[in-house]
Amino acid sequence: MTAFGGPERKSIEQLRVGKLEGLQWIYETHSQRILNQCYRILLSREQAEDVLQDLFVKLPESIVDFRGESALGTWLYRVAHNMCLNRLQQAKNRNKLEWENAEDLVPHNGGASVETRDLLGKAMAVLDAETRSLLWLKEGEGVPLKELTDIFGLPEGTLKSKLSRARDRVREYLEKESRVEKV
Amino acid sequence: MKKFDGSIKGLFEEAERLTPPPGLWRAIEARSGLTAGGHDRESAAQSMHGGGSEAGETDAAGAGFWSGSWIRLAASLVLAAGLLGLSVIFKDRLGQGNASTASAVQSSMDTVAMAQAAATPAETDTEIVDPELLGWHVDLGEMDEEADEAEEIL
Repeated sequence: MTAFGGPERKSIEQLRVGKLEGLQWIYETHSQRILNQCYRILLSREQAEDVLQDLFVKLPESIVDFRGESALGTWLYRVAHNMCLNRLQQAKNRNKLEWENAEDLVPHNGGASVETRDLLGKAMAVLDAETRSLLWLKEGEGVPLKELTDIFGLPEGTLKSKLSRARDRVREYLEKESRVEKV
Repeated sequence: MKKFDGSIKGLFEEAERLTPPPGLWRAIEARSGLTAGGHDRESAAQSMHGGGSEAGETDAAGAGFWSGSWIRLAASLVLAAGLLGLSVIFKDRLGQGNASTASAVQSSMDTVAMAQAAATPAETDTEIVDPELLGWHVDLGEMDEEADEAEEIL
């Protein structure tokens, strides 16, 4: 994760005085990781892109809430995480969207690792949204535990046990799928 | 489906990574309201048009110039000059060619005052009918009576 300083500090200062260049630098540096985090929480590429767009459109105003106590990327992960959970809650309240729809998990392009991606997507779908976010950031993005405590607002011990249970559930699912395939 | 070999780490390392679509930044740029150089669009519009932020206010500012005091002053001068010229011509025709400029100006001022009075809507009967005109009408009636008497004599 980028440390809070240098070009990051400059881009934040630019954004705070309304310079587009600041927003662009942050977008180019962080958008891909945020998009993938949202995708793993929402299990929908379209919804993930929507959240990413909303986050960056609101960023010129919401940046005032960033106090520099963590890296900007860590703060952005937390904002994206909260926006995704809010969106899921709204969808649940409306009872309109089927977030656990298996079709959303079908990969969007071909390639050698399509089967692996499909397998991971289905395995992640057995977890709740918050745990998907945690597991993805730890295993998929390699975010250190210390930063995860900032993002989720939970102590390290709690996060460790959550991660352990999440891995067990994913492993169980994958082994079950593997057995089904052998039969 | 690929067989699970027990390594969750390997599964995540090979996981699909999405890339933001090319048009997404353009959409964010358009919706953010920011412009290159440091001013958002609203403040940029304000600095360009002296506080107006929308195109409508820009139009209003333009109209304000054209309906401003300079144009009104110029129109008044043209009108006064025209009236002055007319009054001089009339006085020449009436044999008063040597009338002073001051009286010509006074005449033009009187003309303007009369025009203004004529332009204001009449509210009472005496304003609607000029007493002098009424007097003329009475004279005309007397003439008609005389004519009638003459016809009777004939």
